[in-house]
Formats: sequence, structure tokens, C-alpha cells
Amino acid sequence: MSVLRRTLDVQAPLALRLALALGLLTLLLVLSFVVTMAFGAVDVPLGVTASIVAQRLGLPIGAAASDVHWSVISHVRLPRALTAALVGAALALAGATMQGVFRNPLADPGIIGVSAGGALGAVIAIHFGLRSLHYLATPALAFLGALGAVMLVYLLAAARGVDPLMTMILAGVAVQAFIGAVISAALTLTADVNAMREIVFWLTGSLGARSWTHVQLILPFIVIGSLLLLCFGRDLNLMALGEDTARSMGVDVRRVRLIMLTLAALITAVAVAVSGIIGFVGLVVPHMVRLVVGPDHRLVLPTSLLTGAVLLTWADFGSRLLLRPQELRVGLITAFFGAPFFLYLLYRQRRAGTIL
Amino acid sequence: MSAPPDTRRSAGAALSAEDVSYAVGLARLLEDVSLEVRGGSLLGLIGPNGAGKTTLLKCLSRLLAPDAGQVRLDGRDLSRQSPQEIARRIALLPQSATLDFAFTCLEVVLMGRNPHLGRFQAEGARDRAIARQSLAETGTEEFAARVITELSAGERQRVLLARALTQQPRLLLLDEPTAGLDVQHQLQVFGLIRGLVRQGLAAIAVVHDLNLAARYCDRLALLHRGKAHARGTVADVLTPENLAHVFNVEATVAHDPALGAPRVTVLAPLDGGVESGGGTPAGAETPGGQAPDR
Repeated sequence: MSVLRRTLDVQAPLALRLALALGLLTLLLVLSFVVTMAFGAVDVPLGVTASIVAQRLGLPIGAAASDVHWSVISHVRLPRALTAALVGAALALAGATMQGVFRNPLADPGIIGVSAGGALGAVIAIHFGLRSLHYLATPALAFLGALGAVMLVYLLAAARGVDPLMTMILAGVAVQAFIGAVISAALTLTADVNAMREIVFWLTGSLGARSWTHVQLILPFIVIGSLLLLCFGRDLNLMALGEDTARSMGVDVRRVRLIMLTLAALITAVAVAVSGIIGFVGLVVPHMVRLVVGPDHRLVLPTSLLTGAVLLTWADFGSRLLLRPQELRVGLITAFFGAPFFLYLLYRQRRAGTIL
Repeated sequence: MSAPPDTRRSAGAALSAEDVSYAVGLARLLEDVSLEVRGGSLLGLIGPNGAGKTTLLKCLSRLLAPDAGQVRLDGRDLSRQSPQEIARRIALLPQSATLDFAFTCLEVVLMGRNPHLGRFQAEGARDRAIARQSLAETGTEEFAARVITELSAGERQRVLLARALTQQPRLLLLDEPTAGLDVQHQLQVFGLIRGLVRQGLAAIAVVHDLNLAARYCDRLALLHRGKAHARGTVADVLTPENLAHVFNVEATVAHDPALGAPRVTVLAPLDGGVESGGGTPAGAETPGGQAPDR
């Protein structure tokens, strides 16, 4: 443990701390994958689960599995777990980015209206019955809604020049309130009870019945968006010293901000499109991560990404197993555990004397 | 053992600004301001609130692009250089650096290496040595592992100065480096800056306190409504006439043998304005009521 502490210590070289943190988290993610996939309506032995995953990913190791086990893991649980990991990674990385760019510990991916816009898109798809035309109509409209809301917030913020960051937060609040009203109206006007249920469900996020199509849809966006975001860790550090100081050290602050917010909005929009609204991951994970690795964004961004993946994998596991055979919404799980945990973090940090 | 990394600082650079103007909408914040500073010299920018001191400093560091005029560093036009290139030679210590994340002082100081690093390059042994040296020069080594948000204002300002020095600049721009500091820390920070200038660095500082400016600056530029009202040696610039014209106060300037520098004593605000400079102030209310006591 003391070796671990010393390596993660701020004085140690960055590359070493990064390698250790990422190595541990990757190991944890792989283990979480196998363990969470083994349990469910049908329990599959851990070894069999691991070999099916390996074979599915093209590594010919382990014994052949029975057809039932193969199809449960390969067609149901693996795509679902991958979706959970991708969504968790995207939300946590977007949260860490937002907190860094806005220099505000309470920022999360929803702050600039992404989630609300996604919700509006989904509600439109459900309300007008578009989902019966194509099963991807809801995610597609959710994605468009999320991007549309972000663009609206941008335009509002760009129109007023003084403090674009504060304007964006306020515009985000306004857009969210407006969209909330529209959704309430849609709920009131919907006569179809099933559609109503579906809207309410969508608003609390779920990863149920996610297929390989979903994985293929979101994988390229989230991987590329995340990799690009990870390039800006040092800029984010410098921006923590204030815009003038950062610019005087050669950072093009406005451009970096625009690029980072766009990428964060993009990966959030993609995540929201397939999962609905899953709260608290983007808010809580960066705080957890900073407690361990410190404030350096070159560490915070990649470790948030992996921690988010691990966390949502387990949250989804909880949603499947807590009330088995009934399934809870994963958004309920993250809020139920995330909110008290966030309060605990606040309490701890207050006592330590720093906010972050 | 390899040789210790080379952490020497290069000599100061000469900066010259010619007829710099800057406007926001109809407000002409700077009009045809010219000035120059050389290595080994500290130029003080003085003037009342809103005279354009901070705007000028931002134009000199290229945070703002002047509407007209040129800023040259060692003869090279800054407008033709990338922000990164400029940052390798000019460091800026802005007035209010807000700190939101719990970085340690060493981390903050190391950030000064940014202009010298590639995008994916981490700080190496030489960068760390330079950061350590900057901490030593500002007397803040003991804070290296401390979180910067926990320091007092005076300590924090010295660490932020160390951050600027880690850029290994040839010109240092300081915006009211002692704002909000108590007397002891004011002298400490200016003593540090003076020491750096003595070693050859060029520096320009916005100074609010006229007596600090008189004591520590080699030359002064007095700004008034966006224009350079007076430039030159401390004695040339700090005259009762200039102070009356620009600050609208009645003041005396005397040589202080203890400091070896001029000392400004502000007696009273002038009501009438510019022309009445030197006249008897109406309602002679001396600030603090004890102006002539030192």
C-alpha cells in the first residue's frame, strides 16, 4: 500500500503515476466485466464467461461453451456491458472536462443542456410513435436533440460577449427548464399509457436490451472523442490559473474551450442517445478520482474515463440483480448511490478545507 | 553522474512599443502610447484607475492585439509570432490569479514550462531543476509540496512569481504585483523583482503605490486617459504638476535621504481640475490627517 501511495504521490514522475493508475483501472475493468457478466437470470461459471468473452474478441483461448451460455454472454450480456462501460466512460470524461473548463466543481455533462436536449428528442420519437418505424429512431432523435440544445446554448452564450462561461451555464439552466416544461406538456397530452411509461423510463436511463448495433453506433464516436479530449490535459491545468495566465503561457484558451466543450457535448450526446439520462456519474467520478490522483488533468481525464466505465458496469450489474428477476433502472441506481456519496465527498472536502 | 541540468536564464530583452492604440467600440482605451525598456531595467506604469495601465500591459504581452502601432521584442514584431513563441520570452503575472484546483506549488511552478514543451511531452529533469531554482529564487522552496490554495496572499504571490520565472522569460510583465499585500510582503516582492532585474531581466510593472514606484522603478511612464502623459526618470515624472494634472491631487515631492528616492506626499484632492494645479485646495482635508509626518 505504501508503495502505491508513493507512486501516486504528486512528486513522482507523471508517466509512472499515469501508467500505474491506468494499469490498475484496466485490470479492474476487465475483472468487473467478467464478474458482472457471469451473473443474471442464468448464472454462468466465471471461467466460461471469461473464455466466451476472449473468443468473442478473437482470442482463441479457453474451452468451448454450451449454446445457452454462449448466446447469453455473447448476444446479451457482452454488448450490454460494453454499452455500460462506454456510456460510463463518456459521461465521466465529459464531467471531468466540464468541471475543468468551467472551473466549477458542480459542473456535469448536463450543465450545458445536453441531457435535456436528448430527452426532448427521445420524447418526440416516443410521443409521435416514430420508434415503431425504426428501433433506432429514439437514439437518433435523442442525439439530434442533445446536439441541438448544445448549439442553442452556444449561440446564446456567443451573443453576449462578457463572460461566455457564466452565460453558458445560465443559458444551460434556461434551456433545461424550457425543455422540462415541454416534456411535462408531452406527458400530460399523451393519451397512450405505454408511451407515457416509456418517456418516464427514458428519463431515468437504462441499459437494458442493448445490442451490438448500439455498441457499433457509439463506439467510434466515444473512442475518437475521448482520445482527442485526452490531448488537452495540460491546457486544462494551465487554464486553472485563469484565462490571462494561461494565454500568457501560450494556450489558445478560447479555442481549447470550444474544442473541449464540443467534444464533451458530442460524447455525452452519443451516450445519452443509447442510455437515456444517467445522472451523477459525470458529477461524482471526477471528484472521486481527484481524491486519489490529485488535480492534474493529465491524470484526472484518463482515470475518470476508466473509473466511469467500471462504475457504470457495476451500477448496471446492481440494476439487473438487486430485485432479480425484476430490473431496476440504472439511472435510479446511480442517483441512489451517487447523491449520498457526493454529499459525503462534500463533507470530507469541507473538513479538509478545500473545495476540490 | 550526469552534469546538473542547465538552468541559466538568458539576458533581458529590449521591448519597444510605438504608438500603440487600442479601442473597444467607441472607448479609446489607449492612444498612441510609446515606451521602451531594456534588460536590467524596471519600468513602472503609473496612473489613476482606468488610465489604461492593464490594457497596455496586455497589449505588450499580446493578450490583446493593438489596433494600431507596433510592439517589438529585440526588434522583432510580436504580431508575427505565435503565442507559444512569445511565451518563451515574455512572462506575465496578471493581477488576480484565481486558483480553483488544489495544485501543489511545485505543480503550479512547473506549469511555467508549458511554452517550452511539445503537446505530449512531460516535464523532464531539466524542467524540474528550473522550477526548483525558481522556487529557491523566490524563497518558496519550503512550499513546494504544499497546496497553493492554502498559502497566504504574500506567499502565493511569490509562488506565482516563481511560476513566471520558470518560463525563463527575458521580459517580465507584472500587473500590480503587490496588490492586497501587507507592507512587509510588498517590500519582499519588490525586493525580489529588483534582484531579478539587477541580474539582467527586463521588467515592466503596473504600480499603484507611487512611493513604491519611486523607490523601486528605474523609469516611469505616467498614463492619463489612455495616453502617456509623461515618461522618463522617476524625478522627471513624479512632479507636483504631473500629479496635479493626472491624479487631480495636490502633492509634494521631496527627496527622502533614508530611501535615496523621491517621496510623494499627497496633501489633498483638487476640486477644480487640471488648471488649478499647485493652488490652494478647497476644504483642505488631508488624507489620514497626518500627511507630513514621514
